[in-house]
Amino acid sequence: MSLLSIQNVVKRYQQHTALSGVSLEIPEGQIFGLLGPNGAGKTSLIRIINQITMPDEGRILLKGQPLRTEDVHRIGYLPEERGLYKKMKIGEQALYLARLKGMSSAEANRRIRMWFEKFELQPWWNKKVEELSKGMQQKVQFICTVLHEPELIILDEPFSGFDPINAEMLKQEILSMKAKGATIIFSTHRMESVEELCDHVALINKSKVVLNGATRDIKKQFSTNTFRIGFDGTLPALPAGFELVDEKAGNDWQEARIQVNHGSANELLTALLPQVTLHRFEEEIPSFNEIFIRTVKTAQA
Amino acid sequence: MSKVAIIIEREFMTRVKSKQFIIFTLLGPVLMSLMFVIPVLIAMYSEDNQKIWIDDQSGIFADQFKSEKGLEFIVLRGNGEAYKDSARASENSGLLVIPAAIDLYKPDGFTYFSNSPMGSSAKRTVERTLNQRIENLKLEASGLRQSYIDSLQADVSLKTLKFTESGGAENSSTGAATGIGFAAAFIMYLFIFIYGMMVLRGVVEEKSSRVMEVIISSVRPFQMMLGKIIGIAAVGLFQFILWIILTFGIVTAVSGFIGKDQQKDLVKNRMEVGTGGNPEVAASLEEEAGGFDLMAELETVNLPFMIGMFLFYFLAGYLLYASLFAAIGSAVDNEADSQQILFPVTIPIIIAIIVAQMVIQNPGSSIAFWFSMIPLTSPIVMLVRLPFGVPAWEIALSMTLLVGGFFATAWMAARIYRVGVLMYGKKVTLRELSKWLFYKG
Repeated sequence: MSLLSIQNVVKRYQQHTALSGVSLEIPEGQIFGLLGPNGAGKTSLIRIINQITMPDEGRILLKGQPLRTEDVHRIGYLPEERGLYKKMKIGEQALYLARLKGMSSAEANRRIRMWFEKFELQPWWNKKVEELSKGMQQKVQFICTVLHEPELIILDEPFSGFDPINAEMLKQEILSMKAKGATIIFSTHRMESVEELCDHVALINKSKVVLNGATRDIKKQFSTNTFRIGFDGTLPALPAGFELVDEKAGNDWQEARIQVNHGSANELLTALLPQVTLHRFEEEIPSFNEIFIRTVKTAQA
Repeated sequence: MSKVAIIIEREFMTRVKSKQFIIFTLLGPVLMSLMFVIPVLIAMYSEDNQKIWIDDQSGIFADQFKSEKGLEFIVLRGNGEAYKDSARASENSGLLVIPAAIDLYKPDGFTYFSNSPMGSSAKRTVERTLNQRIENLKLEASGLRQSYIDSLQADVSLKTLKFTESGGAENSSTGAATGIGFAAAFIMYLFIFIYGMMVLRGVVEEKSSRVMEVIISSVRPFQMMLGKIIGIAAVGLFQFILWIILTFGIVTAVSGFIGKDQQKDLVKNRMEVGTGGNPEVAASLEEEAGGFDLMAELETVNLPFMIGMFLFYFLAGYLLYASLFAAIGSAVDNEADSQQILFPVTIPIIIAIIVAQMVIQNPGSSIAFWFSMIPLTSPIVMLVRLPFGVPAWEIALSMTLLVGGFFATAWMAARIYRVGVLMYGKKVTLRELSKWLFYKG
C-alpha cells in the first residue's frame, strides 16, 4: 500500500516547467530513492509534498486523503540547503523547531535530550550554532527533522558533510526508523548509498519520471544477462544461446564475459565445469551509477 | 499555543537576551540624559565668557550695554586704539568701536575687531542695543519725553482659544501642542526606522542562513511574517518603556545636583532638542517654559485621548511599514542588496517628516489635511496635527484609511514574501516584485 500518492503533478514557473505530469506511488515503510540530475525537478516536487508551494495541476494523497495543512506535522523534511539560526543555542533551536511542529515543550525537551545523548551533542546544548563544526550542525539539523517522529521523512542529500563514521551512524538511524515503520524519501546523487538503502527508486529527468520501480526490478531490467568468469584452462566451444563477448588475461587467471541470450546460468556452468578450473562466476549487474547515466543520456538523445 | 505565538516568543526572547539589546537599552538613556545635561553643565562651569570691549567715541551708547550670561561688556575710557593690541592677544574677546560722530538718520561706521568670528547671539545683542538706543534718541529728538517713550513699550501675549463643538471656546495652547505633536512624530519616525530595519534584517538573516526552508515546512509564510513583525514590535515597545523609565530616573537624579536656575535652562534645552532644532518651535516653547505654566498648558491637550491616538498611529504605522520592510527583506539575498530597493519605502517617511514641519506652521492647511489622510504619511503627519485639534470625521477617515492601508500592504507584502523567501540569486526590481503579487500558490 502506498503512503503517498503523487498524481499527475504539474508545476510551471515563468520560463520553464519544473514538473510535467509526475505520478509516483511511495510505498509505506520503505526507503524511496528520488534521483535525478541537477535541475530535474526533485526539489520542486519535495516542496510540493511539504506544501511549501502548490502544484498547478494534479494532487497528492497521503494515505488516500488529499494533503491538508496539518499534515506537515506528519512529515519531517531535511532540506539540501541546511539552515539553522546561527546565533541561537542548539538546544533552544531544536526546541523551537519542535514546537513549531506542534510538540509540547516538555515532550520536545525529553526527546531532544535523548537524541542529543545519542549523537553526543549533550555538552553542546548551550552552544550557538556558529560555534559548532559543520558535521555537528548537520547532526542538529537531522535531529530537528526526525524529532517529532514523522511518518514520512524526506531527506535531501543527508550524508553531505559527514565523515564516514557519522555517515554510518546516520545510515543506521535511517534503517532503524524504517524498521519502526517510517517511510523515507531519499534524494541524493550518491549512487552507492542508493544501492545500500533504497527499496524503490524513481529517476526524474527534465521534469518527467523516466524510471520508476523497485530496486531489484530495475536492476533486473538493466541486466544484460552477462556473466563474468575467471578461470584457468581453455574455454570450450559454447553451446547455442551463449556468446563470448570478450576474453583476456587477468592478473591471476583468464577472464571472460559471456552473454546468455537464452538458457540459464546453470547450463553455462554445466558446459564450463568439465573443461576449466573456475575461480569466479558472477552476473554482471549494472551499478546505479551506470543506470543513472545511461537513462539520462538515453533521455537526452 | 498557536504557531504565531511561538514565533513571537522567539523573536522577542532572542532579541531581548542579546548583548546588543542590553547595551543599547542601557546606553540609550545615558546618551539622552547627556544630551540634556551637558549643555547645562558646560554653561554652569564655563569660565570662558566672551568679552567685548567697547570704545564708544560718541559717548551716547556706552551705558546701554548690559552684560549677560556668557557675554561681558567692558566700557573703555580714553583712546581705544591702545586696547586693540590686548583685544588681539585675547582669544575670546573683541573690540567694538563706535565712531565719534553718528548721524542718527544714517548710522554708520560701527566696527567690531576680533581674532575669532563674533557669535550670532552676541552680534544680535549688540545690534539690538545699538538700534534701540538710536530709535530712542530719534524719538527724543522729535520732542517726546523719556517717560513717554518708556510707556510706548508694549508686550502683548496672544491668548489662543479654540471653538468647541458646544459653541464655547476653550484654552488652546500652540506651544504645548507643537511640542507634543512634534515629539510624537519624531519618536514615530525613529521607531519605524529602527525596528522596521530590524524586521528587514531578521528576514534577510533567515533567508541567507537558509533556515527559512526548514521553518516554512512547518508554518505558513504569512504566520512567519506576522510573528516576526509583532515580536519585534514588542521588543520595540519594551525598549522604549525601559528608555523612558531610565532616562527619567537619570534626569531626576542629575537634577538633584543642579540648582533651580539651571533646571529652567534644562527645560529650555530639552525643548530645543525635542523639536529637532526648529528654532521657531523652540522659541515658542521657550516662552511657555519662561512662564512656567507648562503644566496648565498640557492640561489643555486632552492627554488620555492623545495617548490613545498616539498608540493607534504608532502601532498601525509601524505595522504598515514593517510589512513593507519584511517584503523587501524577503526579496533580497543580503542586506546590501536591500538599500536600493529600500529607497521607495523611505521616501514617504522623509516626506512625512518634511510635511510635519510645514504642518506646525499651519495645522489646518490642505497640505496638512491630505498628508494626514494618505496611509503612508498619516502616522507621522496626523500625530503633529492632533494636539491642535482635528475634526472627528477627519480622524475617523484617516484611521479607516490607515487600517485599510495596512491590510493592503500586508496582503501585498505577504504575497511578495511567500515568493521571495524561496527565491535566490534573482536580481530584484520593482517590476519583478509586482509580478510576484500575482503568482499562484
